[in-house]
Amino acid sequence: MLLLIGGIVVWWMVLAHTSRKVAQEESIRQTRLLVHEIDQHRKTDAALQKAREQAEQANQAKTRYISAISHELRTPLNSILGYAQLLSDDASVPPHRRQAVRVIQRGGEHLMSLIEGTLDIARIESGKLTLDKRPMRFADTVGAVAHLFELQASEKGLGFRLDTGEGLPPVVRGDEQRLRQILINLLGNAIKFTSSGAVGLRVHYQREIAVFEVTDTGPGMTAAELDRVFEPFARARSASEAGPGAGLGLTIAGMLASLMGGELTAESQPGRGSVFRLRLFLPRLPDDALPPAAPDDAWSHGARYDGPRRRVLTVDNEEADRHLVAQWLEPLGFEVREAASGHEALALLEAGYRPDAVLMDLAMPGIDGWERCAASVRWTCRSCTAPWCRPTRSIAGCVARRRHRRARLLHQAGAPCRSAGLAGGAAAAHLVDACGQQAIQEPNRSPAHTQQAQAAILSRANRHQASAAVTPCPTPGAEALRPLERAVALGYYRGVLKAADALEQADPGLRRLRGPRELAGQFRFDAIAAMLQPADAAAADAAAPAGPNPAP
Amino acid sequence: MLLIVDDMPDNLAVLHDALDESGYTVLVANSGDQALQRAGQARPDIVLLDAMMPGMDGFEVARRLKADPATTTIPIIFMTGLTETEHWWPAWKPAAWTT
Repeated sequence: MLLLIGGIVVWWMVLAHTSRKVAQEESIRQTRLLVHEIDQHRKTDAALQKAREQAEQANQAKTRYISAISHELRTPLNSILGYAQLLSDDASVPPHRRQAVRVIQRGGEHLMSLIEGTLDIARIESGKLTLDKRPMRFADTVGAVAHLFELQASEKGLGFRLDTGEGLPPVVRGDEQRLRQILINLLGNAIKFTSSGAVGLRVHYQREIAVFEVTDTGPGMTAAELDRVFEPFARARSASEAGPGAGLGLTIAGMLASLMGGELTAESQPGRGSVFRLRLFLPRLPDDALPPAAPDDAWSHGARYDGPRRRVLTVDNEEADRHLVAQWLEPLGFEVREAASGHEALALLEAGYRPDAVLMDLAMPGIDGWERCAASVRWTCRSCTAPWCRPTRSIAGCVARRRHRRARLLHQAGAPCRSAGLAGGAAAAHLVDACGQQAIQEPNRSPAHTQQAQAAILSRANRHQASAAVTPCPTPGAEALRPLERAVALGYYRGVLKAADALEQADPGLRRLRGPRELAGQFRFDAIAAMLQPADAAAADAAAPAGPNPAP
Repeated sequence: MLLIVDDMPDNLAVLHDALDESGYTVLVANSGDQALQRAGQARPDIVLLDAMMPGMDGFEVARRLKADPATTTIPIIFMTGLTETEHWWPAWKPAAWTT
């Protein structure tokens, strides 16, 4: 019995020993495997590290390459653009080559904006773009940007709404230049793609977060287009109608927004317009943290405005009103000339005086005469769309022709302040300046007086009589228009020119058909067709009296 | 009589001026739809067609021109900046139906 127990104990001990040995061996083997595995991991890690470094280097090399090549491209492009500018100013260039020069200029400018955009992207990607966060005048900046686009919208016949909710903080901390860049891009796009309706900017500020919403009534985007809207060179199907664009603007805006710690999103449906929403963290600062006034704010506070001196011609039969205009424009740095009547103004213009803007009272006696003499001055007027009118450069006519535009112009000119005439002067001066600036950006609008003869129309007061000032434009009959319509339908450029010539010769009273000619030069035959379509309606609208005005 | 089709006005301008000065009668269209309409209306002797256009592209225009008996005999020249074979291959398909 004892032997049996002893045997079991021994057997158990032997068993335990063997199993311990096996376990130990197994543990050693596993440890060795683990060590090996760790070793392998370390190697993989090193390889990955190296690959990442290589990829980053390659990416940096790409960025360096792109910025280097962009700089290299810019140099010859500058000389191309420079000489194109010289040629376009050169009176000895024959008329049939002016279009060619314009194409060179446009092509060059398009390339330039592409290059600038590419450089911007390269700069952001390489982390070289640093934000300049400072106290900035928030409400003023938003107001200034909105004002700029309100003008552009009205020139295109669009409405513009600025909605700042319960008001914006005067001062926040942020990068003003970049914020402007994003807003200008979004609003510029909205106006570019919208052909009728309105563009809006809604700014909502709450708990240090500013939400900007840019809305439009444009063609909208499909879901697929919306997905790619922030990708470079992703252009919507409506883009070719809207005109040339680099296709980089939204990409840059999106990158800037995320660089600023915010986000830029888009919502859209085909036919319903689009909404671009920008959310940014812009901490509010105490109002007395104001930076020194920015130069472009300065002149609205009574200081002089910056840039080249602009000439303003004020035409008014009331001496007191003329002086008033001179009094507030001259201190701002404008050169003001006065004329007491339309005829006097025309005499000045014929003598070679070229103002940058004309401030004109529409309710002068003898205005009828002005309408006619304005017609003989070949001036650009961009507010007018009727085909019989565009060629006339008829300044008074243009103001009054489209009632809502006229109201807007009057509003911008500070007209609501009736007793003070042009009081609210800063706004009007802004308009003068803006018109002048835009005129410079678009020097080809009026080849005859490339730089100078850019007319901005400001009118004040007396809306009732303003409409009486407009004589209806002579309109060719439907039969006479037939050849023009046919050429337009065929897309036959020469035919359009010939038909326009024939129309002008047949009716000497008819003003030059400059609108259709210009559009044909850009091969926008659809636009001419649209112009011809509602001609009767437009003429009727122009001829009809403006009716009683709600304003007292 | 030629019809040139391109969505970029500046490209049109260069081509139009060059051909116009060489004495051709040049019609212009800046979209696929317009091109089809004008080709049907005016029956040009040849169509110069940009391949890449938003909306209806040049290949589709060519296909439809070839499919319509009225315009099927009009020769088409594609204008394109594409260099890859797979990009311009579709152009051969409609062309194969003619001549």
